[in-house]
Formats: sequence, C-alpha cells, structure tokens
Amino acid sequence: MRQGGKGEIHLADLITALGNLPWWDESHAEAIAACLGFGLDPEAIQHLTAPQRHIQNPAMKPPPVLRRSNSLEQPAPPPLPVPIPMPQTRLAFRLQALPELVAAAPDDAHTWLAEDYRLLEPEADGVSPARAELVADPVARGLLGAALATLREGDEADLPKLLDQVLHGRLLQRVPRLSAPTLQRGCQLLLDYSQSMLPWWEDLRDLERQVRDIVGSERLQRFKFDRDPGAARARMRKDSGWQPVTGRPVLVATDFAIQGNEPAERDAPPGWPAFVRTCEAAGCPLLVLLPWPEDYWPQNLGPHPYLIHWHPHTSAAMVRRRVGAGHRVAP
Amino acid sequence: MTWQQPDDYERWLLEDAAAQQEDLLPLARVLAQASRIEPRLLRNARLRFCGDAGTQLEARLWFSPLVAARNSREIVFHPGVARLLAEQLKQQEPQTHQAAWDFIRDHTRHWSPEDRLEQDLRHLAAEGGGPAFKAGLRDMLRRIHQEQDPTRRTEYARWTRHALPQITDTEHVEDEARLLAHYAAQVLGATAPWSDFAGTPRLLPAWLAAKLPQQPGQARLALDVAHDPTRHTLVLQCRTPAVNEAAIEFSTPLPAKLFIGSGIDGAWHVVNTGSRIELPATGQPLRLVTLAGRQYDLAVAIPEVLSTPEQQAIKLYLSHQPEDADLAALVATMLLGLGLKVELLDEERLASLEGQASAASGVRLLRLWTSAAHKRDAAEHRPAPPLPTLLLRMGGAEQPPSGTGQALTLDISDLLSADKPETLNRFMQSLQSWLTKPDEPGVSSSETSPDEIASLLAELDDPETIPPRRLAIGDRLAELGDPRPGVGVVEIEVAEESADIPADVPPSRYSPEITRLLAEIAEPATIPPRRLEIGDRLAELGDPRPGVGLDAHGLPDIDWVEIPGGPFIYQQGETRELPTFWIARYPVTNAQFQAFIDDGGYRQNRWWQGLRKPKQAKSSWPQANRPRTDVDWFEAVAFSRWLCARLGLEAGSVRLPTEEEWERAARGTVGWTYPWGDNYHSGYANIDETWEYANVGEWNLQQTTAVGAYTQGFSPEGAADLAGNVWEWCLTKYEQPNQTKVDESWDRRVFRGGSWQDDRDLAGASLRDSDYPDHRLNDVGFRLLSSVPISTADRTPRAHAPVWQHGLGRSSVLNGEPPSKEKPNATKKVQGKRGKKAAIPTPKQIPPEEPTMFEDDPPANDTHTFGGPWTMMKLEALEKYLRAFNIALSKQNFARVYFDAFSGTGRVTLKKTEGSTVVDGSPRRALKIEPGFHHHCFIELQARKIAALNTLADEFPAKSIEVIEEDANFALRELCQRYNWRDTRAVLFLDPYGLHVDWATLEAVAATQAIDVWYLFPYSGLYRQAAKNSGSLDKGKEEAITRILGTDEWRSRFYAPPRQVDMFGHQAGDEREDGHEALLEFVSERLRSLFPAVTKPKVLYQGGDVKKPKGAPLFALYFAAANPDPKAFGLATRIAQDVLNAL
Repeated sequence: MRQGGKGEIHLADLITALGNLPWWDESHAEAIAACLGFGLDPEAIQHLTAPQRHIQNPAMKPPPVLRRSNSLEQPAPPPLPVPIPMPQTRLAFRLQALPELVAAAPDDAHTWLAEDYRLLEPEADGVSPARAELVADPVARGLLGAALATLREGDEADLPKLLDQVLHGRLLQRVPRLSAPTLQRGCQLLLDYSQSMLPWWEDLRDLERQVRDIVGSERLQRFKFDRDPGAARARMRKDSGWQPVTGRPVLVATDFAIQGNEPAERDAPPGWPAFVRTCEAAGCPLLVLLPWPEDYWPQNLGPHPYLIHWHPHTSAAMVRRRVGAGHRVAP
Repeated sequence: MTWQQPDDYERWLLEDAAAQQEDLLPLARVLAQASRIEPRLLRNARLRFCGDAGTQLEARLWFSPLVAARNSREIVFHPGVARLLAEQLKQQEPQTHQAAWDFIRDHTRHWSPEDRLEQDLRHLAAEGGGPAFKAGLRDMLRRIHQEQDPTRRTEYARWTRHALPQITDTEHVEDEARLLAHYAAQVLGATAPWSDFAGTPRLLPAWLAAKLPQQPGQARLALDVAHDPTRHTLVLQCRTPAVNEAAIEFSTPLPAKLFIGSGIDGAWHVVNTGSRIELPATGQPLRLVTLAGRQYDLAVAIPEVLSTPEQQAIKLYLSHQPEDADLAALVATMLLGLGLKVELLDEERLASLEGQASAASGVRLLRLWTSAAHKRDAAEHRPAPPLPTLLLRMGGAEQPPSGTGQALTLDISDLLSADKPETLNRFMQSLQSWLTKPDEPGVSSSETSPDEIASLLAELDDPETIPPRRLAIGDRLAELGDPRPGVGVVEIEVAEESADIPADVPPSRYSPEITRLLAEIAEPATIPPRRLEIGDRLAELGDPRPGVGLDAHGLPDIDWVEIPGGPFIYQQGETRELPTFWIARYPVTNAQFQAFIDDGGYRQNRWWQGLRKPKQAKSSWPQANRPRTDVDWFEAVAFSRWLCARLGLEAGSVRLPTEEEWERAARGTVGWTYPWGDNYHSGYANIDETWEYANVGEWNLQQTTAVGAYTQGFSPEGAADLAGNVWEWCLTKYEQPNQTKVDESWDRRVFRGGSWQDDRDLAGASLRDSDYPDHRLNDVGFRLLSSVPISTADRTPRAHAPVWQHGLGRSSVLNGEPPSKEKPNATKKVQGKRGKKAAIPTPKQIPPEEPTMFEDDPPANDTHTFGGPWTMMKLEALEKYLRAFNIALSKQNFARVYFDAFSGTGRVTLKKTEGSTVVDGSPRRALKIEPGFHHHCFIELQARKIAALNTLADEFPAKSIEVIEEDANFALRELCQRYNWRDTRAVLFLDPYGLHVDWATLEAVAATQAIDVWYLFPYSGLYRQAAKNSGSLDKGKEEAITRILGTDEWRSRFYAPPRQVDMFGHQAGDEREDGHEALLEFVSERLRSLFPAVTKPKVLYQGGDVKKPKGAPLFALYFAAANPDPKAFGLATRIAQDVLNAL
C-alpha cells in the first residue's frame, strides 16, 4: 500500500488508527467506529450507553478505577443555620459589670506539677530509621552504569577484524580496536517534579545523588520539569534551559502523569513525542526510569527511548540486555 | 470527623475504598495509627508489611480518597477513617496491630516531643484512656507551666487546639483536658467547638493563669435587646459599642465566646458584631461570663413583667403645643412601643392638672419641647407646670430657659428618625430613672447630663450624622461643657517612653529602638518577614552593627572572623588542609561598596588592571545594610584590590576567597551540609523554602535581607549568610578548580552558598555553581577574605562581637572613689562568643592619594600610634588649660573632675623621619597636673587600651582614677547624670576617632552648666561624609552628619544647586560649596547654640606647621564653656583663647 503524502489520510491510516485506539469492549469499539463513519448513524450511537456484551481487548485495560460507586450515597451536608430575626420591639436593659469569677478551689496540681514527665520526652532530636531507597546504592551503581555507558574505542586490538583485513590483503591504516564502555560522556538528568511524582520526590533526590556519584558532578547536568521534559529548567545557574548535547545520554525519571490511575490512553503526555525526536536527532541516547510497571507504559514514543522499570528488581544485566554494552554515539 | 468519633462521611469513604481499592487497605490499616505519614514511614511500612506490593502502592495510597490532606512532605488520613482502619486491624490481626504501632513509633522518633505526644495520646485514647492518658495530658500542662518563653507557650496552645479534638470525646472529658482547652481557648481566642471542652465558666488556677499572655481589653461588644411577644423570647444582638456605652469586654479578639445563662444553667455562645442570640423571656436577670472570667448582669425590661407596680401606677401625660399634635401622637406611639402608655394633653389645658396631681400622687408630665413651645414660653412667660416634668426636646428646638421647672431634658429626634438602639437604651434608662425618682438631685439635668453628652458624642462619631445635626450637637456640647480632650482648654499629655524592652536584654549603647530591634533579631523565634522588616528599619536608623557599614575613616568596616588553619572535609569527603585565614563576617554591603564608588573606584584604572571594567550599576535593593548585588566578578575583585590598598596591606592580602576557603568557612572542619549542621531548619537562612520540589518551610521573602539577619544560621566561627541571601563570588574557575588566578578571561567563576531565590539544596555549602565573570545578577554578591590578620581596633571604637551580645561597658575604679556615691553600671565585658577575634597588629591607614607623614610602630603595650602635627598641638593646648583651670578653682570649694573620652592608652608614639618619640597622652597629662583634679574618668572601649589605662593606677597611686569601658556617648551621658553640678566642675576632653560624638551627648554636657569642653572636631570626617554632590549622599551618611550636628539644616547650608547643567540639561544634584569655611562656620554656629561661650576654632592641618600648614584641614579644635555665668565663662574663654592663640 502506498504511503499517503503529507496531509493526506488514507483508508489504511484509519484502520491503523482504529486498531490502536484504546477501546475496551465491543460497544466502545462500535462507538469509535461510528465516529469515524463506519456504518452506524448517530441515533444508533445514543443507544450504546450500556454494554451489550463484554469482549475484552487483550491489549487494553478498563478506564480509570477512581470512580465513585453509585451504590453508596455520600451523606448530605448539614443545612445552613437560619439567621435569627430581630423582633421589632426593642427593650430597655441594664448591663452591669460584676466582680470577676472567684478562683476555683485549690486544685491538686501542686502534687503532680513537680513530677517527672511520663510521655512527653525531653527536647532532643531522635533518629528514625532511614527511608529505604527505591533502588539501593549498589544496585543503582550497576544499573545506572549500564544505562548510561557509551562506547568508545578501547585499548585492546580487535583481533578478528585485524585478521580479516590481513587475510584480505588490505593495507592497515591503523590497528582496529575493540570498543569499551565509558561514562565519560556524562549525563543529562531530567527529573519530573510534578504533583503525580510526589511519592517519589525523595527517590528523585536519591537518584540525583546516585547519578552524580557514578558520573561525577562535573559531567552531570541536572534539570527539572513538570510533565513536559522539553521545557525542563536547569537546577543550577551553570546550566541554562535543557538542550541536548550530541552523544551525551539523557536520563529521565518520570511517571508519565499516571498518578495512581490506570491510563485511559497509553500515550505519554503532550510534549513527550517531540522530546524524543529531539533527543534522537541530536544523537543522544534516551533512557526513561518509570516507577510504574510495564502495564502502564505509554506506547506512542517509538523505539528510541529505553523505558526502564525503576524498581529494586531491575538489574544491571536486564538493562545491559536492552541497551547492549553501551550506546553507540557520534565521536 | 475526629479520631474519636468517625462520622458518616468517613464511614462511607472507607466502604467506598473497600469496594474500589481493596488492595490498598492492608497498607492503610498498618499506617492508620500514625497521625501523619511521611514518605519514610510509607516506604518502610510497605516493605515491612506489604513486601510483595510494588512501589506503585505507595503512590496509589498517596492519592487515595482516604487521605484528607497531602503536601510534598506527608499525607494525613481522615481521622475517622484512620480510627476505623486501626480498629479493623486490631480486631482482625491484633499482633500486627501492635507491631504496626511499634513500627510507627520507631519511625517517628525524629518528630518533636509534642508531635509524638499527640500521636501517643491518640493511641491511648483509642485504647480507652486510663492513667497513662491522664499522665500525658499532665505532661503538656507541666510543659506549659515550666515554659518561660510566651511564644513557645502559644505553640503549646496551638498543639492543644490540634490535638484535643483528636483525643477527647464529648461524653467524658478529663479535668486536665478541660484545663488545656480553657487555657488554649484564652491564648488563641478560639471559639471552635473544641473550646467547649473547657466546661462551665471558671477561672484558671493561678499557676496556669500566670502563663496567659498579656492582652488586656482586646474587644468590646454592646448589646441590643429585643422582645418577641409571640414566641416569648428575647433576642440579644451584639454590636460595636458607642463611646462610653456599657459593653462586654473580652480579652481576645472577636469572635469570642460568651457564656449566657441564668444561675449556673446556660451555654457558651460565639459572639461577634451582628450576632443574635435567642433566649427564653423568663424575666430573670441573665448572667454573662467571658472566657477570661469577666461577669456581667443583664437586667432586661420586658414590657409585661418588668414594669414595677410603682411604675405601673404612674399616670403619664404628654403635653404639646396645638401645632405639634401630630408629632405628639407619633411620640406617644413610640413610647407605647417601649411599654409606656401616655395621655396626650394640649398645653392649653395644663392648668387642668393643677390641684389633681402631685409627685406623691403618681402623676408625671412629659412636655414636648419644640420650637413652637420655646416661642410660646418665651412670649407668655408661663409659670412652671405644677407636676414633675421632663422635656422631650426635638433637635431643632432651642434649650429651655432656666425656671421652666424641668428636671431632665431628653433629646428625642433620633428616636423618631432612625434606628439607633444605643440612643433608645439611654433614653429608656434615663426615663425610667426619672419615673422612679423624679426629684432626686442625682438625676441628670439638661445642663450636666453625662448621658446626653455621651449621646451627643456618640452621634458625632457616627459617620451618618448629617452636617446640620453636627452643628447643633456642637452648640449643645458647648452649652453642656464640651468634655473632649483638647477642646476649650490646653491639655498636655505626657507619656513616658515605652520601656518595651525584654527584661533579659542588657542595656545597650544604642537607642532603645535599635536595642529592641537587635534583641528581636537575636531571638530565634523571630520569623523571616520580621527579620526583613528589622533589617530595613535598622538601615533607616543607621545600622550600628560592626562589619555592616563604614569605619571612622569612611572605609568599609569589615568584621573579620578568624578561620583556624588545619585539615577539613572538602566536597564529598576528601580531606584537605588550609592555613589560617580571616573571612568577613558578612557579605559586602551596599554601604561598603558605595565607599568604593565614592572614592572613585570606577575612575581609577589601577584597581582594574587585568580586569574588564563594566559601567557602574545599581544594586537591586538599595538598603545600606543589604548585600551588594548586581556586581560582577571583575567588580568584586576591583573592590578587594581597592580596600587592600586603602588598608595599606600588601597586594593580594584582601581578596575574594577561593572556593576551598569559602567551603571551609561554611562547612567547618567536619563537612556539614549547612553552616549550622547537616539538616536544614526552616527560618535559618534567607532562601525559598517553599520551592515546590524541596518544600521545607513556609518562607520565601523573594528578596535579599540585611546581612546577618538570620542569627541562628551563623557558622561555628560566627560568619553569617553563608547559606542563602546571596551567592558569593569566589576566585576559582569553575571548569578548572585549580585555577584561581585573576585574569580577564571569560572562564566561568564559581559562586557558592545559594541565594534568596534558591531552595535548600542549592544553599548547601558543598554545592558549586558558576557564571560568566561579567554577569551581574540580583542574587549574587561577594565576601572578602584576608590572608593576614587585620585589626579594625584602631579605626573604630566599636567592639567586635556579634551585635546581639553588646551590652554596657565596664567601669573600674582603680584609685579612690568617684565623688558621687552612685557608681556607673557595671556590666559584662563585650566579648564575642562566636567569632574568635584576630590578633591585631594595626594596618596602615592611607588617606587617598596622600602619603603619610607618620608611620606606625609596632605598638608597645601601653602606647598607641596615631596623629600628626596636630597631636602635639591639641595635647599642649589641653595641658595648659587644665593647669589654669585647676589653679583658678583651687581656692574655691568645688570638686574638680576630669573626663577624657576616647582616652587611648595614655601614651602616644609619634614617628618622624629621624626616629620615633613617645609622648604623654591626655590622660597622663591630666594626672600629672598639680594642683590637679579630684577625680579622673577615662573612657575607652578597646581592650588593649583599657589594659594600658588600668596600669595608670599603679603609676599614680595618689590619684583617683576611674576607667570606663564603654562607648563615650553613653558613658558621658551617664556621667552628666551622676554628679551634683552645684558643687562640681569638670573639664571634658573630646578627641573622637571620627564622627562619634552625638549631638545628644553635647546637649547633656551643656545641660550640666558646669563642664568646660575641649572638642577636637573631626572636620575631615565631616568633609568626607558630605559628598561633593548631594546625589551621592546615602542615607547612612546623611544620618551620621545629622547625628553629630543635631539638625539636618546642614543640607541647605552645605549644598547649592549646580551652576551648570550637563549637555542634556540635566542637573544631577546639589553641589557642596567648595570652601571648608562654610562647613566650619555652621559647626561653630551649632556649638554656639548649645554653649554660652564657644571660642573660634583652631584648624589643624595634615602637615606643615601652624604658620605654613600643608595638606587638607583635618580637625578644628574648639573650646566651649557650659557655665552660663558670664564671669565664669568669660574667664574660661579668655584662658582658652589665649591657649589657642599661642599654638
């Protein structure tokens, strides 16, 4: 099938779109089809308010669960107080100050005021157990190292390649060498400090420290954003607004604004597709740490970003299997 | 909706959650006993009790409907929901319930003790209370009782407000809870339902009442009472009282609580202006009681039941002129509404009452007094009515003449025209009093009625009163004798100056206001907005703190803090080592940077060699004591070069710190995160605490503050503002941390410390940030460092300690006793506790572009080095006069005292090209004179000089010597108060280091009428402060000049509009007159306005001799006599003038 030109919508495009739309039962799919002009008239659509039968789309989950049950009635608020009307007949009166209340009889406080405190502890800063990190430092070191490594020419000769060249009688300009992973490219760290990430703000701080510990503060550029990573602002004066640096990995920690809801659409928030394209165009490896499991991940970001479950069970080996020994970037 | 009593909504929430999000409930149940849930507890509890669940469970709970409040630091369950969840867990899994409680307690150990107590009490309340619960309440009462700080006690009251509803139910309230509720309600002025836990009205026990804040008479409410006969109810309406009107006084602001009842029965009501309270009309007096225990008796005249039989037996007539019949009918109707029935009577028929009525028979007459009645009475000279009579006067009618027989005149205009309940009440009270006792002399007459006066004044206060009525009121008040202050007679109200200084703040050398402000800024509880205000107010007053402004020579008065050398933790834990250095306590202030500008800093290229010189700009905030901002790195370096040269130090001695040095100063040796420790505390630094991703407090001032405004944020060595306020430039290049060389490259330079617009992370002392060296930013300033010890001791008499530690000086009587029995205040020695002071060799003071004639010696212990040709001149003049003074008075019966302010050491080292000479200073010369003084007072502030002065006692054992360690202004004013000047005469030698003699001090001296003054006026200091162009005068300079001259007239005398304008026609500001004669003449005028006799000044120059002076005029030596007796001052001035002429 021929690809449509720019600005044209072909039948195949519609079918593809329909296939990707997040329908979850038959009635919903029919309503979408009707909207696109496939067979049903508007009147028929109005009758599709209740599900006829449940045919689950295996790729999709039902819409958000945060709905109020109709079976439980929320209590009505109490009525507002009614103002007291002021009668017409005003009366004369006398308001006279009396001596103050007489002090109560002596209490027994003198017997216990001098005693020691029982529950109220002395003024001292206690120490509570530390918060467990989302990903412990040793694990994070390996995981982040695997995620952020780029490839450079190493010290060891690439013997197979060398042999191949010799065997083919090619003139050796230089000895081919094996690639080696390195962190010298540093990292651009973009942290999503949006409201939906509130439960992980402390983890973002931990992550910032963990990344700094492995790439060094000089090679780390820190940015923060609220849902849209393309509008990330620098955490420090030395870094201005976010701009990709060719060959420097971009590590983003975000939840794609899921906030406890199961996604009605499996699309990342607006701004993300453009951000991904920018990183790709600049030759920047893009890695996204997500605290939500894979079920929730967006589907509209294409193959460029590596989405990594930000979870204690995510290991360096798992990342390395996705990323390889390191990102190949422009020298 | 409380922990104790879940409501229907909370039950519904839980049922809904069970239906929709059941998987959340196990974690929610575990956390339910925590009064708030932080991420730390949430994470660790999930791992401990719900290990299989992923981290998303935390997020789902965080945003669950079970949560009533959430912010970036914690979530809080609906209290009733939490209670239900906790009960579910206890019933289903009692062991887990206990384990969860232990877990929560363990994870809230970092909370404040009060927060933990609240959580414990919640837990105990759910367990049924018991002795432990009671003990916890007693703990809080004990804490309130023992707490000395009223602010903390208010915090405990807030704790009560928050905690009590959670832990107390309405059915059973412990006595301790009642006390807490009563106390907290009074402290906070609370009216919420929890305050009802206080129970019936009673006074707090004395031990708790003593802990209430002092807040007398916060609010007043007057009452109107209306009657609804159909429902047999009374309605009390609260309103703002009129002047002098009886009202209920509350100790708290409105709304307030008021107990209304009869006998012991009753209830608390919340009252405010406009509140209405409905009560049964029982006819019984009502008792009103405020929370503070003020009681009132409210007697209401209910028509059916109030009128006494005597009153009911009285027959009332309302007489009127025939033309006033309609008006009379209206008045009769009004009176009927008030429960008084009257019979109308045409005044033509008054005679018909004769013989049938008398006071005893119970007949009364109300006369409607209108203009018509007045005219008729005046025309016909009618006799007084035969009955007890009261006039009801309409507003336009003139006052009745005397002899009309009325006992009382009541104005009724307002009763008919408007709804004025207060007027109605007064009218009825007066009328009923008259009805009961018509002939009692105490009943007000129209001439002297305070009720009428009060009513009229209230009307005047009413903005709705129309102007013609105001005219009539004014005239009536004039007739009655207008009681208002300031009307008719001259009233002078003399109020003592408020002594609103905390008792524990030592008396200070500063003004009471400055002392108060400094005490407040040193108070940890002072909130940042108030610190901002205080800083700006200090700037207005002339911030006196060392290290903030300029010294006596107009140079930045840098307060150096010694940072001892040695190893320290750098960045992530690396150990490095630095030698000892000295860092400025504060960032460079606007006033200090202005000195650089005024000294031509931008014009002189020598400060800018190898730098890029920008155009001069302004700081974003102009206050003199705020840090200089909008200054680029090159400017900061140029400033440091300039100051280094002005201090006569080797180039590079004073400079910007490297980032290593800066970090050592900020983090101490152990590598703290902040100057005060590892944790950020709200209110410790001027940062944006509310920054959304690091929300650590509520403050965000969005601007710089005065330096040193956050006293609790000082470093261990005493340096201020190392976290927040402004970033501070360092020498170090950002990309090349080993490079600190000054050059004109565009390489980024490091700045450190965070600023007013940064969050706590960026204010961390290890964090590096940078910018290009030519960038000016409104949150970047700088601070200086010296690699050599520098003394400010000889430049300024101010002590070098954090300012909140300043107190009075110390006086030691070395030999003999002062003539007076009163000794000066002895207070603790001025000594900084945070800043260890540098050992202090004296730097050279270099007047701008002028070589010095006298160089400094390494000072001996009892000498000090200063001066020029003028030094010997002044000393010789003084000595001659002292000798003559003592001889002249030796035959008279006066005690003779010598005061030497700014005494120095007693010796002076003068160095000339061929060698140095040590000469006696003024104290020794005074001591050596025979016949001499009976007593000598030497005033000095610097420790080294004090020590030298103390040795004089051994050297002159026969002399009475008193060494006063104090600011001269303060000490002199005290000395002027000490003596009986009828029997005492004194000579005062004022030789200040700069513009340090306040005019107020001279006023105190002149007021004694017994002191002769030699005053070496610092003319060069005045000249330097009075900038060439008035546009360059900053507030600090203006205030300094005004302070020493006692007036701001100098502006008009010193400055004139410029004769030329620039090429664009602009006038930059007034220019100072070129010659110094005008300035000097004004100084002389001022002194002559104070002292009966003042000699012509002797001007002393920088170099040369008297006949051929060289250089700039530095001083003007004056003699002034305070004695107003012409014989006395004539002799004194003749001697002094001879002495001066001989120089």
